[in-house]
Amino acid sequence: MISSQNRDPSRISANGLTVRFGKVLALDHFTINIPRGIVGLLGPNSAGKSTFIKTMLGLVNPQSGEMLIDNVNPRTDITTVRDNIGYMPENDCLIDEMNPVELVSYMGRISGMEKNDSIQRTHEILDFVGLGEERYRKIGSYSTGMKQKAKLAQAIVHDPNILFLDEPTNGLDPQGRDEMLDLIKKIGKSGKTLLVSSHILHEIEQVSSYVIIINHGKLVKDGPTQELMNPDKTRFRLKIRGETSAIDRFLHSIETRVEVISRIDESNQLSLSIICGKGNSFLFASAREHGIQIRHFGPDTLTLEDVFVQTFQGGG
Amino acid sequence: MGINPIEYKPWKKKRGDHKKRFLSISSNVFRTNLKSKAVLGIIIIGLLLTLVIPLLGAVLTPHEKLTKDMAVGVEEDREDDLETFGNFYINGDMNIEGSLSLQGMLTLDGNVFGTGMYTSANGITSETGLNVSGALDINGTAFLDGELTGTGTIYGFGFIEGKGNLSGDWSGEATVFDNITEDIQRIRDDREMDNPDSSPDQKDGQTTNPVDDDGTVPPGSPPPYPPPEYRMNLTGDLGTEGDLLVDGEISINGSFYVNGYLSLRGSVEGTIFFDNHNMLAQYGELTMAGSVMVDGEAGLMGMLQGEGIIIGTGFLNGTGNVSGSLSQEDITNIISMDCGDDDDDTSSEDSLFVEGSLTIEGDVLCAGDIGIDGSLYIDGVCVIMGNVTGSGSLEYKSTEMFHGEVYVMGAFDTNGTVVVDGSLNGAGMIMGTGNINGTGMVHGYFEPDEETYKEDEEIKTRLLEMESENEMSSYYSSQTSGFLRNELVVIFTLLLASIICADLISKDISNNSFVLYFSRSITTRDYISGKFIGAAVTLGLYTFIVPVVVALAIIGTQTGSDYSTSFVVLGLTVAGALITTVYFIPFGLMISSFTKRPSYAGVGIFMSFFVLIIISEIFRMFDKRWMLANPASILDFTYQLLFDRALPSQITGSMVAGILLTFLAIPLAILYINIHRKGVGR
Repeated sequence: MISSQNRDPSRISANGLTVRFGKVLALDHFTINIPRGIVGLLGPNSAGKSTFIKTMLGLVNPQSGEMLIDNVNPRTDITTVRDNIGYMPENDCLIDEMNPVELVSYMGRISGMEKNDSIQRTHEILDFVGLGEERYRKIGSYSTGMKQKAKLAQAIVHDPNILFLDEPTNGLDPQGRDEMLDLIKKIGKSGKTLLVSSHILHEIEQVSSYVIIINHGKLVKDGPTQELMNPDKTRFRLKIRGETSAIDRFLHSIETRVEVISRIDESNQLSLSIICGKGNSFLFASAREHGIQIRHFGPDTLTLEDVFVQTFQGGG
Repeated sequence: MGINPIEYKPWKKKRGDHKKRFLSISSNVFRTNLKSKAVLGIIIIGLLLTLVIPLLGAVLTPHEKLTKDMAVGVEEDREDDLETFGNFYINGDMNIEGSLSLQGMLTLDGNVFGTGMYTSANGITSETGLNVSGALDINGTAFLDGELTGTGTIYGFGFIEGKGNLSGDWSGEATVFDNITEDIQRIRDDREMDNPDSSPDQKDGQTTNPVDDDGTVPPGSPPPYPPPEYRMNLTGDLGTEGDLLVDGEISINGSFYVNGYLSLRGSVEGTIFFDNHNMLAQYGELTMAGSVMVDGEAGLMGMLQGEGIIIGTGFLNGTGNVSGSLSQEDITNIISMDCGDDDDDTSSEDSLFVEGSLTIEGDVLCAGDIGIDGSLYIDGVCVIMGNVTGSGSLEYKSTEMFHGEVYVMGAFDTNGTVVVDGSLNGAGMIMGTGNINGTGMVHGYFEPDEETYKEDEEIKTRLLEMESENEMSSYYSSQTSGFLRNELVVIFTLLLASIICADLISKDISNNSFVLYFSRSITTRDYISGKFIGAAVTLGLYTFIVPVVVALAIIGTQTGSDYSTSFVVLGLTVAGALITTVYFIPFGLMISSFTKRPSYAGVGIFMSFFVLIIISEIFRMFDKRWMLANPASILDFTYQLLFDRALPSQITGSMVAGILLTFLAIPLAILYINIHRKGVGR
């Protein structure tokens, strides 16, 4: 079974989900339990991220497998499921002839909101996403960043418990990305589950509490972000300075107790990534013995990019 | 722009029922359409063009109640009849059991069989011949290279010419048309050879009018009395494409036509038929110094001018004009042929029939019938004892029998029966004891003076009674299609449906906004229902208003108390309007789902219907059931079913219902599959 099965009660789960488009196998017996919070869905292009989201939304019919969203099977009760979901598509989908007030309130109404409620809520949401000043302009005249905000607004107008955000920062400049990530964080604070699909790992690293890595339609790795970035907690970063011969003697003296993962020559110092067991006082003793200065010693965490690269280098 | 300080707020109010959410889509479609200048413009123009006149007619015309005739027109006997205004080409045989009326040309490579009746304004062409057991009425020219055989009747105002034979049991005998002119020439040559010393003008001591070299006869010449040996007796028909100079007498039991120059100094007995279009263009006039004895028919396709006398008891008919230098005496003589019988005989032998125009400066006394397809202008006293029928006009001015002016468009009746196919207008008195009926209009200003007040009141009363006998008002009798079957309404409905439906799906395709709908609790069925209802409500602004407002106006101004009948018809009208409204939308939505360009969809919708209509019109000539391919015909048949009216032969109610359902269901099914594939399939 999957590795996250004993974590928080999952809101989204899939078991053996298979989706095929002709000869292309988009999801290959995909199995996952997705916990609450902001969850990053990572993978290279054509990995199956969007297909997984659309399958959960009922926009794609799987050939086999089971799925549950808040304990409701989308295949048998898609209307109930969709009532609890907001979806921000990756591609352009907005109705250019409308302004955001019309569009978002329209989406609110077809999500079951009363007309007056939907208009009131629309204005709140447009203020929230930062489109307050431009709310009566036709969407066709919007920039990419504004369109992304409008897409997010229509996805959250009915206050869904689960949000699927497909590449929310696509096409945004750095400031726009920061704004969008900030919005995602704020929504995440409200206790909702956000499944954020992206191939920009740095962004996911910033906002997500849980990460799913997918490739060729299969689950490659998943887990809490911090655990993935520092999986065994015995990895440290050691920066030392001293004579070259002294450094060689120092490294020779500790090599029986420490595994050096990487070694980077920086200006006037050497940066080492090491793995060592409990107790590390011998490092300091040996350094003193060989006249080496220890400039830095602390846990060495990976970036998601490192995790991603390592994952795929390892056969993922 | 900095980071927005506003925090996310949850929204916890209860949401509405899933089943009603498609109404939000409908509402959005409706509101969007109301913002469209094109949609609003067409609705307004359509209402102005199609509502105002029926509405005025409904309000201004006296009526007892709202009837089915007002809604869907006068019931027509369409059984086995075929009427076309275009040309007709048949490669095979044609069998006519009913009637076939053509305004265009009929070209046949096969045979014509049957017991029905064929009428044509332009004639018939056949390479293989015709076999007619019924009637053949040719008002144009029949070019016949084959043989014409049969036992039916041939009549009309046209010509039969060609290289074929004419045989059968009717009045004519087999005649080789090519030889006609030669025969005439031979008769003339023989006559000159037999009488080398005597001119045609001096025969048996009788003086006939001299003929100039160009064949014309000086005006004022007395009637000729040609010698018997110069008579040309034909038992068959006579026709010529060339000029004809006749110094003697012609007796024809068949028909006689001349397409060239004709100069008559003799008398003509029998049926005479003039086609002098060419003559008029080339020579200016037909001079007729002799008498024309008309015991059969005298048909005038060209202009008849001269000072001769037309006497007899037969018809004077045709499509030409009779005008100009005819004196009052001549006119009297013309009409006097109808006055020969003392009996009030309404048989066709005592009739004057004019397809062209006839201007009479003198008085008219006519005991027979008068038929007018052209115009008849009478400035004298007119006493007509017989019938007046036709589709032309009669204009009468008099101070004796008629007070003021009577202007008759189409038909006028005195003591006989008047069939009004056109309109009868006037401010004078209409006298007589007969009926006025038909499908035309009768209206005018009948304000009497003091002397004639009482008499006029009686006439007015009688006129209203006459209308009442026919159980329809004169206004509605002219509206043969009824306000619900208004073709202009169908055209505007189609145009409006094309515009409304064009972007309903195609814009969602181009915007890729299906995902917005289908990521919510909206099913494909909800989506289609929403779009359908939104379009229908918009279209209904036009399709409901026209018939329902007219129907309500009729009910509101009805003079009778039978409201139950009126409301039943109103209910049927609403049902008809509903069918009109929903009829075009499935097809429109289907076409819209095929493209991402609304303009393509709009043109596609309109042209699809247009092509179907053309296909139907082409193939219905071979089989009436092809009418079912015409969407407008289906709508028309549906109205007829709804109002319990008869359908054309070969077309049954189940066929219409089947096609109607197919026309609604198949586009919806294709639309469903298309949307499902686009929205959920990927």
